Amino acid sequence: MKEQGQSPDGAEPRTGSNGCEEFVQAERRRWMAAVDQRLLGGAMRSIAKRGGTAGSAALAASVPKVAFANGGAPTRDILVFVMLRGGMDGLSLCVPHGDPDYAWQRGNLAVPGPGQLDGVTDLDGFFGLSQAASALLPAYQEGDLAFIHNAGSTDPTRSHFDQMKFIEGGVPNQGATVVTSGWLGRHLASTAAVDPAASLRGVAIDYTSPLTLAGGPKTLSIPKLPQFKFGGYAHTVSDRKALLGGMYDRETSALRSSAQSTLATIDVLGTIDFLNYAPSGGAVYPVTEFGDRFKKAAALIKADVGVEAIEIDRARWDHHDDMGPINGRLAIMLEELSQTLAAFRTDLGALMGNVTVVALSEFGRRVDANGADGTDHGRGGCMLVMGGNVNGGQVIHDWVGLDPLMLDDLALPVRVDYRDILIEILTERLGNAGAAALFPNHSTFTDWNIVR
Amino acid sequence: MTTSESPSVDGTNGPGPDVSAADVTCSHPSSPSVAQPTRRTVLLGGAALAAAAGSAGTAAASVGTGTVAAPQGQAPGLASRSAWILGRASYGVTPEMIQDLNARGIQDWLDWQLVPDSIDDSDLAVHLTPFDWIDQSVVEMWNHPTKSGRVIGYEARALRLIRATHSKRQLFERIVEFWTDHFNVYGSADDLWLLKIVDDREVVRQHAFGKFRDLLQASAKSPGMLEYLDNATNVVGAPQENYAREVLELHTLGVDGPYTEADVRELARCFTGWTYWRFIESPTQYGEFRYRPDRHDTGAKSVLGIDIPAGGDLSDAETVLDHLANHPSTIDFVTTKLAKWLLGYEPPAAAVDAAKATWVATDGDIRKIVRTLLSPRFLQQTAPWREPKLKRPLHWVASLHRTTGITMGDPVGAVLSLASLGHTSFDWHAPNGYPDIEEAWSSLLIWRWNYAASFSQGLEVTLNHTITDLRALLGTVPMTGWAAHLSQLMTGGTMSREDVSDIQAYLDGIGVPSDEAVAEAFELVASSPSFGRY
Repeated sequence: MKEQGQSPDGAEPRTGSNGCEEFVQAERRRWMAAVDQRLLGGAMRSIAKRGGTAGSAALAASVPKVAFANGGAPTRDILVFVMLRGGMDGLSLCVPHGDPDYAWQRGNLAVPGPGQLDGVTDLDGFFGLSQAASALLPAYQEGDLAFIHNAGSTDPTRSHFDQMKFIEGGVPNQGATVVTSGWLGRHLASTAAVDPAASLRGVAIDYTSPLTLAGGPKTLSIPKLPQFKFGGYAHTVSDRKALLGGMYDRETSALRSSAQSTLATIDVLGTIDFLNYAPSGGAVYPVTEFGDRFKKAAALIKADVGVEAIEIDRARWDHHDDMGPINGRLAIMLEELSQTLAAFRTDLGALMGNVTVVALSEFGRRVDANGADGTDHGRGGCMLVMGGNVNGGQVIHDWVGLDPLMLDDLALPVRVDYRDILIEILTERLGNAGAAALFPNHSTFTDWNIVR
Repeated sequence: MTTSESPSVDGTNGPGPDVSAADVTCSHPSSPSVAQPTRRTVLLGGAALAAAAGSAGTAAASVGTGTVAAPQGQAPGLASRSAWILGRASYGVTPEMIQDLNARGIQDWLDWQLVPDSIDDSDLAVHLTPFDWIDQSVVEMWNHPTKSGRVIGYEARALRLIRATHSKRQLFERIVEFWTDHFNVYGSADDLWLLKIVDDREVVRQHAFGKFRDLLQASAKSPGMLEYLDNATNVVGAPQENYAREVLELHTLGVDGPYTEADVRELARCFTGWTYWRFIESPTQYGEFRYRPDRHDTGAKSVLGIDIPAGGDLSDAETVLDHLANHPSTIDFVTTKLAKWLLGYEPPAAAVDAAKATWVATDGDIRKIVRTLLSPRFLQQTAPWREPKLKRPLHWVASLHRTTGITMGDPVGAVLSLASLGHTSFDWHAPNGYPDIEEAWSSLLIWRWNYAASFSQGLEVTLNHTITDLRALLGTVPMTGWAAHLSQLMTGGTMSREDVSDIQAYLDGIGVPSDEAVAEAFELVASSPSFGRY
């Protein structure tokens, strides 16, 4: 395990009042030792992997890596980012069945262990994959998918909207009230386009525009890619586009750049036959809005028009009430999420070698169930990273156990900083040597060796 | 923030400027120069509007091209350089509104709008006949002989658009939209289809111009809110905090307000037992508020420094809500948000401060707070060419329909059009309401442009008008004056001079006043950035 004080930004679980500090620290050390014992199968393996790859120094705080893994030309993956809005319960997805403090706190919301009815599929002896998410097993077993547990933002807020703002803006723990650009937008702004002729570098397949992409050049939100066509009389299209371009060029701010990107992108997307797109490899996407958006994203990637970043959000994870992690509401959503990601991977096939998918939520949920068969807002959650160059087949974490004493005010503490995961991916897979600077005032970097 | 250098417009309490004074001081640097029409042309313009409006039905189907003639070269509608003020308090400036403004003066017009019950809205009534459930309880709607809850829900979304389009109580409807987002209740699921309709009527519309405290208390007891934010299942022993958190974060103190996680949990305890009657519990009381003492935590609580003694009941949370309603952080948070709604994304601090002072002085009287924000001084400082706002889709569609007088043939279908623009009422799932920042909507231009094109060609499936009806709105204005005429008709002349001149140059290139030219004239005005602004 990492030593105390090396967690992201030094953020520690709450220690209560000062008078209790020493007692709590002692208790923590005791539990850390116990947890180490419990986790010989899980955590130790991932730690060994970290140590083995990056050297022992990587266990301590280190500076961002700038060299590319193979010393060759920068790899420029397409990043598909999924914001799971509402607070996805990571404990019901990647279930810590080996933690003795899981089941009793979750009560009838606990997902059963391996071998039991509706039980999880064991992943590493400690964590197991929910049956609802079993579509993700092949990706995990074939090494393309990693789960990252007790991950998230180090900011303590349990507000959906503040935490989303901090995560998407890349500015946790900074008390920022106004955030105008996102980490992914800044990434696009700070790197040269992969395809200099591209008219669209970043796209959110959605109506409203996520903060993550804000500030990025040549970015748009497009809810329906097949219908992105210019109406009106066909023979005057170019004249009317020119007129609109002139009028909107006089605008300042977001309206102008959106109009420019829109006008430049119409013809590009018009060449792609989204409606007749046939997925490869027998991939079957769920017939839902989310599934369909991934299907459209696959078509867009295969069309190779220079898009570098795609955001597809899925909301409604805020299960305060009637959560249903086994066969209820949450299970249905986990099923959709996993079947979608699995279909996308199958569909892209070898192209996954140049695609990285990252999914995360603004926070996980409290360990204890509330009185409405739901769970309230927590802290640490579970990220998913999938791609052909992901060091998959493992659950990465820095587990301290679910004993209430070890929790962050009744929730899983955040001990893997989502920024570190993103920095590594942006550096290694998206060719941004300055990725760390996309997250201002984030000085301590931990290398989790998530991608090759 | 740009501030006006003109000191000539009085503040809230003094005698307001008449329109001509405002004209002098607020001249739009790029407003088009159009001939000053006469009152007579207004009436003719009104007749043309009626022709178009009626065309969706039956009455004016016989009114075709040239039947209604405006004097050549003159725009319908009295030119008023203060028309943009109307834009800040409505869903789009019509010639009729400019008449009202010119008749009353700006101060009186605002005061008039602030007492919606005094405004004759009989013209709206003819549009309301399909909505036979409009005053019904949840039980009555549940038992509707022909309409399912979902159908009634769709109709309720259409009703929002119809009211925005046709009601003369325009400022009231704008404020209703504000509170609809502030106290957001997602209405497209299960019981919420009907519960939101009652929430809209008895919470939002009932209290939109009332006291904030009453609005807050009503919202807290609204079965729609109780279901949506899960307080209906908040029980003693294992409270759940969803509503308690959002009422602090989103409805009152704001996320930066002075509360802690402990306050959230203690407030959740106060709200235990607040629920509503489910159908299965009582088919006759279904959808009504219910307080269940057996589910209430009667222990002592401490919220925000207020000690709630043991043995309490419904009053536990009511006490806290009263405290929250006029808390300085609430006043700051809500007033600032309201100022952004009315005056621009960056409202002047002086306006916010004045409105906060009004809140304190009037015990949170929303009508008076709005009146303070809409004082001509602040309006002038935040005129659209200084603090431009982007119309959200509901606003934009309503603008297009109301300024052309188009009536929806199929209101429910029109809701689907709004869905394609990303802005169906009661359909925002997260508790923070639809965003009101430009960045959230600016990506969706192409859907507006395409709606403008199909609207203008008479192809929008939910609308019954034709290009001939639109041509009637041009009267006998020569083609060389169409852009300026439509700026006057559709924005009260507030489009930028450059946009008008660019569109006119395009039309000049067509040269022939064909149906296609008519359609493109309307399309391009509706697609222009200055029609999209307010």
